[in-house]
Amino acid sequence: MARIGVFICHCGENISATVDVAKVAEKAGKLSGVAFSVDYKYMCSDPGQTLIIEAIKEHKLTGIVVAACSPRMHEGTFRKAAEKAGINPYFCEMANIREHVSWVHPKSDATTQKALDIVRTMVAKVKKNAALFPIKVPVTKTALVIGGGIAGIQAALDIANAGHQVIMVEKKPSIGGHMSQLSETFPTLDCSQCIMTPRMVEVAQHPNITLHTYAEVESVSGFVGNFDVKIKMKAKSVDYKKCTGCGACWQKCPSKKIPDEFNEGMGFRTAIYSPFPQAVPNKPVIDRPNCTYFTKGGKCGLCKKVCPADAINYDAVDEFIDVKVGAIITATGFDLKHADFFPEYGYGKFKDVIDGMQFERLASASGPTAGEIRRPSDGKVPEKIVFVACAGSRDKAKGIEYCSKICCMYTAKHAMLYKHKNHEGKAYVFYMDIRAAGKDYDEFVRRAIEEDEVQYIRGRVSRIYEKNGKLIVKGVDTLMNGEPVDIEADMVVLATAVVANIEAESLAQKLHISYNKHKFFAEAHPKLKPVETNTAGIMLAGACQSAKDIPESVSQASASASKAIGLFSSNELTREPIVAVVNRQAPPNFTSCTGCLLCQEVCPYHAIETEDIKDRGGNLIKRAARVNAGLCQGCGTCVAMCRNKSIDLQGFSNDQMLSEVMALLNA
Amino acid sequence: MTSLQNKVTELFENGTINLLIGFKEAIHKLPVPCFIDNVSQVEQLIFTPSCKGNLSVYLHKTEVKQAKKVGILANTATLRAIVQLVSENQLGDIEKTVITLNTNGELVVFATMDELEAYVQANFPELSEEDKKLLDQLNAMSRTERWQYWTEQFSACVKCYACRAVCPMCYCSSCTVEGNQPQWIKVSSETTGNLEWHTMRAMHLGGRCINCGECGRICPVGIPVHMLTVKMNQDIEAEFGAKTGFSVKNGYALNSFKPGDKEQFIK
Repeated sequence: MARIGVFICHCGENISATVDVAKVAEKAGKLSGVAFSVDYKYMCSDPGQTLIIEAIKEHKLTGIVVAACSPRMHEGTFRKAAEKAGINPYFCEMANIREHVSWVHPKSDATTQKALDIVRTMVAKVKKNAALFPIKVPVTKTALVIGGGIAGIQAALDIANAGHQVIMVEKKPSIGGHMSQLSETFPTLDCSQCIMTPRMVEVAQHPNITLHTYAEVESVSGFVGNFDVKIKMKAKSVDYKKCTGCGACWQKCPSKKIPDEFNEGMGFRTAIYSPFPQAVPNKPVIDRPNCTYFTKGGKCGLCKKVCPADAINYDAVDEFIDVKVGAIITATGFDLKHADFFPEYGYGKFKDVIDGMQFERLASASGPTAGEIRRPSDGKVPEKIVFVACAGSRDKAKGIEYCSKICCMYTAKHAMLYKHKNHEGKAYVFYMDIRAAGKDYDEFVRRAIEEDEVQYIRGRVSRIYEKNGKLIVKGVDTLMNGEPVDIEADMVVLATAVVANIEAESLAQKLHISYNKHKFFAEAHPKLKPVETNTAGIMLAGACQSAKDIPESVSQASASASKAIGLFSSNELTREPIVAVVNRQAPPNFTSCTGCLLCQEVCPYHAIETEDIKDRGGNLIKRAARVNAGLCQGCGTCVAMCRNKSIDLQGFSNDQMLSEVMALLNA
Repeated sequence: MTSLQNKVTELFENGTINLLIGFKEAIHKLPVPCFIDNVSQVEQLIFTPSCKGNLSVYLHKTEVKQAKKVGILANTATLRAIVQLVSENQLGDIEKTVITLNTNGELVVFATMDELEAYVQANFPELSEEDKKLLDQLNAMSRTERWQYWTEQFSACVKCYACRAVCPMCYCSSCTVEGNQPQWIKVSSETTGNLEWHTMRAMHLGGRCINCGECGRICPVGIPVHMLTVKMNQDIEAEFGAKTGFSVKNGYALNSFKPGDKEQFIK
């Protein structure tokens, strides 16, 4: 027989000013099954909680209803009190008579009646409650970091330094990402590689980090604390255990005319190559589609002949390894919008119309011009250079409404670097707005304008065309009443839009994380959960979430690392038992589930698995659905889908819900 | 022996099937379902255009599943039902040999599900003239008239659940209508409870029903219950372009979302 206690909170005057709390307590006391009922000024206070604990003990209550605020606020408080008094905490329910009643209605009898109605439904529900116990899930204290750019490196180092294992997967032959391609960084103009390479080396040498370069995530299954990841190790064709990185192979390689990705196509590399001198690991891979040995059926083989360590292995194949990890950090970065997107600017058509990353390579000491800014077409030092900000960004017509965020700053930096190297040169910047909201950012832009005399023109460029070896940039100056501006430039740099990594969508689908229409990964909450995804245990770092500069990427990487470290701080994860369960019945049914698996399709958390029910001879009796309690978030979508109610949500069962409805209807 | 009987004998003898669900002639020359598990019974088999029953309803019975290798005589509605059942993961554990009569009256035995699916898509059945007429009548009614019509019809329902028993898509081993913790649907046969039952049935079958019309045909008090799901299918096809029993990769229009879905129904 149920013995329910009802506790009506005044919440100071928050509730009692509009609801006749004494009357609610009195009437609730007369409800069937209610053994005790009382009202009190602050139920959440220490004396309030003591009152509840004492009442449970004294009246031998089997369940309690606390009519107060939202369960979001104090459900935990009262469940703990119930537990202290010796009953299962899930025999405590809250009736929200503050947000749902006193805060939204004027003082009246109807308001008091509504409070009583809500109390009545919760009394009906709590009578049907069952004891529930927290679910314990073991945690594998290893993190997987996908992407070896600055965000991935930072996250990996933070987790590794906290004493946990990290597996880093990078699809290119070296870690370093976009940051290793940059010349200098804003707003301090320190050399990017000088601050980057020590971090890269630290990753390679860290005892807690296992680095897999030239590798990709093949598949992911499992759930928070227990992910199973298959990693594809692409065939490098070089045995890294033997290779010393001496470079004999790439010096002798005859295929020397392959556009160099690291230099954004402005230089050449060999077929066996290490992308840049400071690469980590500084060992080569063979680019098979461009290698004579592989394209001409075994002819060449020079690298194998010259290798003093006998490290070349033409027969190497893609390998797959399986790892178990507890947390995953995606740090897959961004891409820049390229050619054919800007026909009006002649990008991809005129050699001297380049993008921001190409300019970085021109300005970089390790670049194709050893740091001298020369035009790609004829190698001349440009006398006039035009920078176009927002090339594609904030442009609905181009399908990119968002701001790429980093361009205002790097364009100012580019103009500055150019002026520092060519004092007589002229630099122009076409811009829409200058967005320089960061520490020392606006000062940096002002410096470009005031000290380095970069000419900023507010307006858009309509067209760029070639005439007598010059690039004619046609634009307007909107601060001069839209007066047309024509500049005869030697070189044009487009700050093209930052877009999601080309493989972002397929990775998101492997990870079961959501992404927006631009394929940037979605955070769990834009403000309060900016580094978590909707899939527990998967975090975001850097530009895979949205365009970010280096400091932002690094901070977000550290933030997501701290989430992983937090996850690893105990051996077991405790989860609320509010999860769906597929029923069990006596044979011959075993369960009423028919295995139609509609639930599997609608589950947003991929928490529904199939279970084969077999007889003792191993013959299949039935294939039914089963909920993975580690993944289930208790949303109840599966319950709504199930035609014969074979699946039910603990704590919000069909029985409990109908009792609530009937309590309201049978008032 | 007829060509059908020869074919079935052959299937038994070469071990392709060890059970056949078919038709035999009963009183007044009416076809009734029969189960044949050895060659000696083959002689009673018939398969004529008057064999209208949807035998796929037996496919998910435990006793049939235990036979493992099952042959079935299927008219076009049955073929559709088989496609739909496969799309709902219901026939995975039996090897089925499906036999149909094509429009020329020749026997067709499907070797694979792909063949069967292609045949169904090429010979997709239309609604019968009778049902079309009734559907037009229902569509022409105002909401009030339609409510009155169904209230009147269902007041006659005796809740025998023959509509459920005959339905190939009603394969749940326990039905919500019989659940009592909690009891969602009133058990007794009275108009409100009857309406609740038939509404639930229509909701559970909308977008899944393959329009065989068996439930309406079987009703002992003559309620055209099949029109509820026929109408729902019509709406779902118009809204989401989904045809039931058309493809094993059909998906279920009511549990999936596509960015191109029309959303006029949310108003």
